[in-house]
Amino acid sequence: MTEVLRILRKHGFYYLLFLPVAGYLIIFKYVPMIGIMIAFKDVTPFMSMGEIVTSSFIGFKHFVNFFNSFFFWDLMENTLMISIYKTLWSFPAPILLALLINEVHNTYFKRISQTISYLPHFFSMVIVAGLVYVVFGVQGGLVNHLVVLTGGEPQHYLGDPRWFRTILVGTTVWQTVGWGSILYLAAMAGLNPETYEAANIDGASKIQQVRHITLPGISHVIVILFIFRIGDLLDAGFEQILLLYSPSVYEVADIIDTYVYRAGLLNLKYSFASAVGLYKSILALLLLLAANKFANFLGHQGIW
Amino acid sequence: MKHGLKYTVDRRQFLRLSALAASGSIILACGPQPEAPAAGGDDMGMAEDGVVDVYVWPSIALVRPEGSDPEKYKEVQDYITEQLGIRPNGFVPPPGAAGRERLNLMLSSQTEQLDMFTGDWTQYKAAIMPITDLLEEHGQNILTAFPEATWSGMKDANGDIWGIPRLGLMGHTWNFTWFREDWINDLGLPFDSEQMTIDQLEGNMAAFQEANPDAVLVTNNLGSLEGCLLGAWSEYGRSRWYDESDGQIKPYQLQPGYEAFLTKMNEWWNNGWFHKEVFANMDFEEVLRSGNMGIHCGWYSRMTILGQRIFLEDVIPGMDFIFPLKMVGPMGLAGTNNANMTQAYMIPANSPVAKEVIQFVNWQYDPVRDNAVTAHYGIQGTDWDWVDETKEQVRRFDAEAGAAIYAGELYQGAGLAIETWSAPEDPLWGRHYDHIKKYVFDYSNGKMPVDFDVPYDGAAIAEQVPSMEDINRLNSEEAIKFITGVRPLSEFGDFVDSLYRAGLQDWIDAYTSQYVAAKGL
Repeated sequence: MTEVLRILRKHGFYYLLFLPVAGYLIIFKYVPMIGIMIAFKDVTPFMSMGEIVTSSFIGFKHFVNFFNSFFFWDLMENTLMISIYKTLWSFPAPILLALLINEVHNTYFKRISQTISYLPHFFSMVIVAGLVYVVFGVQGGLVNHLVVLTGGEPQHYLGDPRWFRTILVGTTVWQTVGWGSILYLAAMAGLNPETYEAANIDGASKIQQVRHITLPGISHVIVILFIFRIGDLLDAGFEQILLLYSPSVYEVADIIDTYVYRAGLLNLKYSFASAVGLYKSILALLLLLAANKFANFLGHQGIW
Repeated sequence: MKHGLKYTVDRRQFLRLSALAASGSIILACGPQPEAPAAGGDDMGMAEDGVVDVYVWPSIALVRPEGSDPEKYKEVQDYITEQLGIRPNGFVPPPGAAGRERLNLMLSSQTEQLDMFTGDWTQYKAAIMPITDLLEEHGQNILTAFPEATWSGMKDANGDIWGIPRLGLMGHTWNFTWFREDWINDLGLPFDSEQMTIDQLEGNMAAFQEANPDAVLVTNNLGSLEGCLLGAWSEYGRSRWYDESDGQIKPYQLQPGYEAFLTKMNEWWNNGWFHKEVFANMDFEEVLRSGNMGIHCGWYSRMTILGQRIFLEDVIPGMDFIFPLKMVGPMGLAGTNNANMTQAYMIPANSPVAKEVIQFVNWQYDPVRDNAVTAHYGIQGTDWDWVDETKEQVRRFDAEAGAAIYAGELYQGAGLAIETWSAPEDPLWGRHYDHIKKYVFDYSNGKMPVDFDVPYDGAAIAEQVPSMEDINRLNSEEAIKFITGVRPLSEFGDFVDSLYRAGLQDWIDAYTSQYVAAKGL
């Protein structure tokens, strides 16, 4: 106890600084976890808190219902495939953009390029979906206009399972590439310029400098962001898909979140929605732990 | 130079002060809050001035999404308070789906008083109160405004009434097939305002496309298309049906003729008649504005409101649409009447002012008609007035430039009864209300859903059919695949098998047991 008091006295200022953060985490992240209980109960939307707490536990009924769903494996596949495709394309894209911007020496051009690339990040998903409709629409859409000009037939790309995921991934890359590059640019700014000078004197080409100085220098940032991305692997982009999909493309677009939205939230089945949410969180935690372990195994620091 | 006290704060002190301020704000935020007006509290909804406050969720999309001008809203509120001794308060919901989410949150959190809202009463049964006695005592105007068939949708198996009808039995909705009037005239094509056949529809559509290769047939979604046309090839149309052979209620997809319907729609798709985005996120207004829409099978207000606005703008000179009262095919009437029997105005179970809410709504249902229009449009003489003594047409004044707007927050009458009483004089809304007045209770133009009068318990069915969403998805997804040719119709049998694998028998059992109990079979 005296040891604790001694530490508090010694570092009191820092603990004081941490207090708002702790308060935020407790109030907004830990207290709501009590709500997990509704995944194991039959909660109707209008029960009072007291009724929810005192209602009886029903075990894993909602989990079993979800696992028994006719589309369970389709939903898992769609969620993972869309997420993996997005990771494959949208994870390296900001690194590449940061590398390119880093090599630009004209400050004016550099700033304009960065601003343009950051801009889509600030668009709400509704605006992005609207733009997608404008670009890919059958009637007057930019892409179909070009198709017709080149003698082709207009296509309903958003209703075509062969194109839907491509549009999703492309939109994600476009929206995230600029903003995602900021962290990498910051990490590159921290690299010692003398290393590049030395490499120049030794006759290293730009590609060699990127390969042997820049990439190793920012690898810790890449690894940490990749681990976080793996933790988000079951978040395939609910809002984006909800705004763009339709029954014609359910087979490639319906993910866990959109299914839960229809089956759970629209029908006020909050217990079912919570059960699926909990299942997703547990899987995400396991993925995060595995990715972190793997990073440690490869000799990187990981997130702890 | 002036001299005074000079404070200097070093970096460390600044950080300490910031940390203290942040920590202090957290502690203050977690402290006791001023009390909000509690639902179900001891004050029984009574304000300090002795007037009872009732809080209602708007029944319509407000004339202006951000709500009324405050002074105009207060004027209407004061007028009603003076008339009734009850002060109505309306909410301004966020637009779109967020509105429903906000309502559900209010109902679950119970931190704000809410005394009336709309929705499917079978879904909300756990959160609302039966109103049979209240209606009997304080709601005679409401009771007499609706036919008995419509009230049957508000009752449970015990005969208790759980809400005031919001949509009820609508003979006039969505089962209309609209034809491009100017094209019909220009091309000299057949049209009979009483009755048209599927063959004539096909002939006209082919002629439209021959004259204009971009001409398309449009619907709002698969359900609208089925509601318009399925009856032409099937006995029951878009309705659950009772299979005499095994005594079970089944979904319309299983009735003889559904496959024939899909086959015909696939043929139309292959002809290039349907707009390519028709089953996805088609922008109806954009297609209409393009001038290429030849036929519309769908919800009436797409034409009577949205369409009428475009026609009045004269975007495409001469463009307008007309419909035959009946479409018929090999199996008779093509349309199915819409029976949204369970959409209702409901009172939350914890409302402290249930009696006053019913009195307030009953006031709007006054057969003299003035009150309903007041709740809808504002103050008589200032915001609106009758065109003549028949009180069938309303002339609105608040649309004049610069006038303060009342957005209709307190109106609790959207539905069938009040809307048939009168129509606005202006050409935009006049067409819409005229349409409702003419066709609302005319059930002769479509097939009546087999079980329209069965008070299904939606919550019990959801409990018995955990795979309801799987079945819904299969039905919509696969039907669209059959129509668009993505899946060959030779696989229709496999589709039915997959419905059973997804839990259709649970669905059949759940509906059958309630149907049998209600019909006493």
